[in-house]
Amino acid sequence: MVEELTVKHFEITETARGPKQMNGAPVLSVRDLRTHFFQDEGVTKAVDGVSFDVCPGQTVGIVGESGCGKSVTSLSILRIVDPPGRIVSGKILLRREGGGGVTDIAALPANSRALRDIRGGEIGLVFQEPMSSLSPVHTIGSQLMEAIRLHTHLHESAVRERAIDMLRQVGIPQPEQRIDSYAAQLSGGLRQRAMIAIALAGQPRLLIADEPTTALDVTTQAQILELLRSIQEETGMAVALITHDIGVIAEMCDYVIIMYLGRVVEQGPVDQIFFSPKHPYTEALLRSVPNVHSEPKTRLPALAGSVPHPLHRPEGCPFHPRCARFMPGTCERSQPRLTEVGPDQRASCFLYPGADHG
Amino acid sequence: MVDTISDPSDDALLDVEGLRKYFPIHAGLSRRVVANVRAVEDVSFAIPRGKTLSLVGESGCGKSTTSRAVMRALDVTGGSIRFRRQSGEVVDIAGLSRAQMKPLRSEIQMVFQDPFSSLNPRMTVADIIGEPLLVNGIDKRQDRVDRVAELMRRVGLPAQFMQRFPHAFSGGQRQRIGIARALALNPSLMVLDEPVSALDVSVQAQVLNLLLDLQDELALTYLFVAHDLSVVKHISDQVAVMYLGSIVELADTCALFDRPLHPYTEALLSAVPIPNPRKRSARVLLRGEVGSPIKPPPGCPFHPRCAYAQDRCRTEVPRLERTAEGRQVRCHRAHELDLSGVGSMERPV
Amino acid sequence: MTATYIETVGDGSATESKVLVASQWQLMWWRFRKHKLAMAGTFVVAFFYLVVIFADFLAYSDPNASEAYQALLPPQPIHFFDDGVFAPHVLGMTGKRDPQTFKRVYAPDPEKKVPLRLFAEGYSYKFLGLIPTNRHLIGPVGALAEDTIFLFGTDMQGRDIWSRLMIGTRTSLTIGLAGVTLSLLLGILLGGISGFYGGWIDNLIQRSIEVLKSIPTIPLWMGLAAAMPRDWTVVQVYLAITVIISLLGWTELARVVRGRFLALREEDFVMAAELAGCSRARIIARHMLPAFMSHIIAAVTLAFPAMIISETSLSFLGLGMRPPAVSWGVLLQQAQNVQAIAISPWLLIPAIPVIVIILAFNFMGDGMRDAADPYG
Repeated sequence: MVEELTVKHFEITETARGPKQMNGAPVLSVRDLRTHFFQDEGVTKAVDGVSFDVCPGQTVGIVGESGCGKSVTSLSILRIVDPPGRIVSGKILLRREGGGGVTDIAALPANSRALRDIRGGEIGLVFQEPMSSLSPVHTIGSQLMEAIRLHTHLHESAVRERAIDMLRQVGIPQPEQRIDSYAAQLSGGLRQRAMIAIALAGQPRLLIADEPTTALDVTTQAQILELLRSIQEETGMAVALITHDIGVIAEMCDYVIIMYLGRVVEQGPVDQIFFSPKHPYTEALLRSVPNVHSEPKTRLPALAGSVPHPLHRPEGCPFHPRCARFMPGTCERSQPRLTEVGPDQRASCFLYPGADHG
Repeated sequence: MVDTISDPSDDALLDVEGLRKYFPIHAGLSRRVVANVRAVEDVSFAIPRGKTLSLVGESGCGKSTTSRAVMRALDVTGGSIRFRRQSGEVVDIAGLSRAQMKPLRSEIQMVFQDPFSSLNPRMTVADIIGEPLLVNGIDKRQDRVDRVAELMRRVGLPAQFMQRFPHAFSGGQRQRIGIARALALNPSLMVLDEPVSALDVSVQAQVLNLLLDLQDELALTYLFVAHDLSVVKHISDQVAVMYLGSIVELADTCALFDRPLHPYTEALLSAVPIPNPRKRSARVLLRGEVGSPIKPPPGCPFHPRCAYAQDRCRTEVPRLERTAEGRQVRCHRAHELDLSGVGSMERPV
Repeated sequence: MTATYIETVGDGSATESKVLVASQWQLMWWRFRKHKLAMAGTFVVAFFYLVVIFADFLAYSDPNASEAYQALLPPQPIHFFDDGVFAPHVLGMTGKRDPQTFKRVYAPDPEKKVPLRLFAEGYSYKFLGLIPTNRHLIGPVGALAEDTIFLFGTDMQGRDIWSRLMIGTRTSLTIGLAGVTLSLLLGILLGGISGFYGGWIDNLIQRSIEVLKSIPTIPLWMGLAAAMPRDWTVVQVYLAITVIISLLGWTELARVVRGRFLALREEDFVMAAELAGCSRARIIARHMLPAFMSHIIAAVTLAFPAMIISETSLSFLGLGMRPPAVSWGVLLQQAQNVQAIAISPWLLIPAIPVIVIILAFNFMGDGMRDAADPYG
């Protein structure tokens, strides 16, 4: 049951979010990415056919619950999936700087020079837990300077200057002193800022932020999101934001991809996803999120059941056992195709014509 | 449900007064106390029977320590915790010993944050839920099995899964098991320590609904600890906002969200991302970092980060003041400031 | 994770699977089974302990019977066929003195065939320590005085290495077992006290462990061995050696126990049990001990090799078991002399089981450690 993939380059039109500078061709185009984990218990299809584009200046959000494959997608883009996981098919096309053509990251040899140049160079990465991604035995300055040396050709004397500059740019107070501190000496918010500075050292054109604020308090989260937004405005870089927080998606993203058990259930411009969701899962997910405007002590419209273990993905549409609009005889038989349901909006659901193979 | 806070002393199930919890820092070979971490500093609140009070705040604000002190999972440094027993008797549990606490245990129960580490992976669900029954004198096996089945149904788990081990359940289901265990002894007070923050979004709503239903049916009183303000809005009658170990503001839920009186509450509310792409909060971004609980800033502990701070705030510690509507706030300028609530701070993008 | 969830709540249509009702030990066993090396190690260990049980049965000549004229005979391979007919036998050796080096060299003599049979008669012993018998697994037919076999050759005193190896295996592996048991008891007791009570008791025990661990082992052994009276019987020496090696071996186990205790004290489910009103004894017995039993078993398995090595090196250095007792270390004493090894390399054969069993225990322990926490 191989799906023909006909996802073309999506035209990014103006959304209700307002005009945004999205100059030209996408920085990154992911096409039918499949990353599977080959375990003793069976094969987990962590990412199973994901396609999207990220354009300069655009923020694409990937959202979903545990086991939906959002993080594995980001790891796949950087080719840092650990065994027993491996990319089994698909293309990860990176448009190189200055008309340098297009590189398929998925096809590059592992540990190759080219791959290492891309990581931290053209693609920067920010993780959820800065404590575990920063070295505890080096100062943040030395890690930042290392990144600057690797990806720029600055003279040694200028490197420290540049590092202090970057720390200031990400809002770390007294950067001249903080440059010599260790990660453990900084608060969670400052560590995440340092991590962002390191990710920005190579002046990436794409920043992948994997749950960048999940470990932070809400006021710190607001600061970090603000910082990401202002950096993006200045540099025009593209951002891929992976999160489980619907509020963060609404606030940050231009384009949203909703995943469930390794499959994209719906993708489209943020305004359409929030105001005219087409997939029953999107609809239910958005309704079940508590918000600060709701009447206290009222029941939430909850989604039934829980996310199945990724190893035991239901047959057919993976969402069908929990779906309020389950159609017996259809939904459990085959997987729906991602199909056009609105301008730039796609959903994989049999409610819409074109989802089956006919 | 929108009634104002009544005088805490009469019908309150739990009445906490001036609670303090310090953790000493030892140094040197003699293990001399060199400083104290003031985790909880002068915390007072009361919860009427059948109501929910939420403690909110950021990590390190002392909300979890407060809840654990109320459970008497740790010894308290000072203050009183008056608890009205099911017999009608009011006991100050702050000074009780481990043995003295034992008969009260059944009336105060807890639901933990982590649905994985809170269930013993080596026991079946029947044994986990049945343990409180067993150690509290329900000796007949069949009686326990019947009660466990009833509890499981009540929290929405099929009773035939009783003989399974926790690893067979998803996070949300495990949290239901934890709730069933807490309910086993018919408690009157439940301490809920971030009970939904480890769950998936779609499951969070289920568990919140379950907690609301149980409160209705069983007239439970909740002390709810959380950092997620959206969740707090849903579940609480009253909200207490904590900062650096003390309560800075306490009010009825709607009042607090719509018209905060403390600048920290305002900042906290404005930081919550709004799940609506057409709106964005007018952010009150806080400066700097939370102060140290070992050496809190002089004056108002929040003043170094406060946009409204004046000279007085830097030197004089504000007292918790009671306003006319029965709200409590710890700010020198509470009466003169006009702060924005969740309704007024949203701007279209 | 082997976990699978019950798909939906409430409708009871969950997919039944044995994983769902599997207990901790079942999950551990399933996980352990997947560890190929660990399974191989387990079989090897089981095999060795079978040798321990049936040592006398597997030996075929008295391990202490020495014949000076048969010193340093090379191993005699078993020939299964004689002119195409199944008739297992070994070839007798004839010794000649090399005219140049004046050393005795032995060569198989195709004329001297010593036929073999199963369940042959040999020296008398008690089977499993109970039943007196003189049957052995194999042996020369008829057991005539001049018909001798030496499957692994003989040592300098002309004793049969195969038979001595069987008996030595019994000694070395039971010392390991006894030593581990003793250090396990000490480790659980002291580690448990240390972890449960904390405070100054914990401090005292931890500092003692550090002192014990900082003493260089060889001089300590030498001191203790020197303190052992020369006229002690084999049994007394055996017990003394067990005590000496377990006195050093308990520290690691105590640390494991203490660490698990400290970690478990913080677990939410332990606190939940306390809030449910469980007594301290119940919390330890029902919640804490089962949670680290598997870790203890893994730690014990990994402690075995150290015990065996300790005994072997003590005896090799002449500080441990002494002749007439036979252990791997005693056997390897024969191989202390480089010249002897050069001429009679079969003297090194007893080193093979030492290496094999230590690898086997390590593989098994690794597998157990991985399987010990089936919940990740």
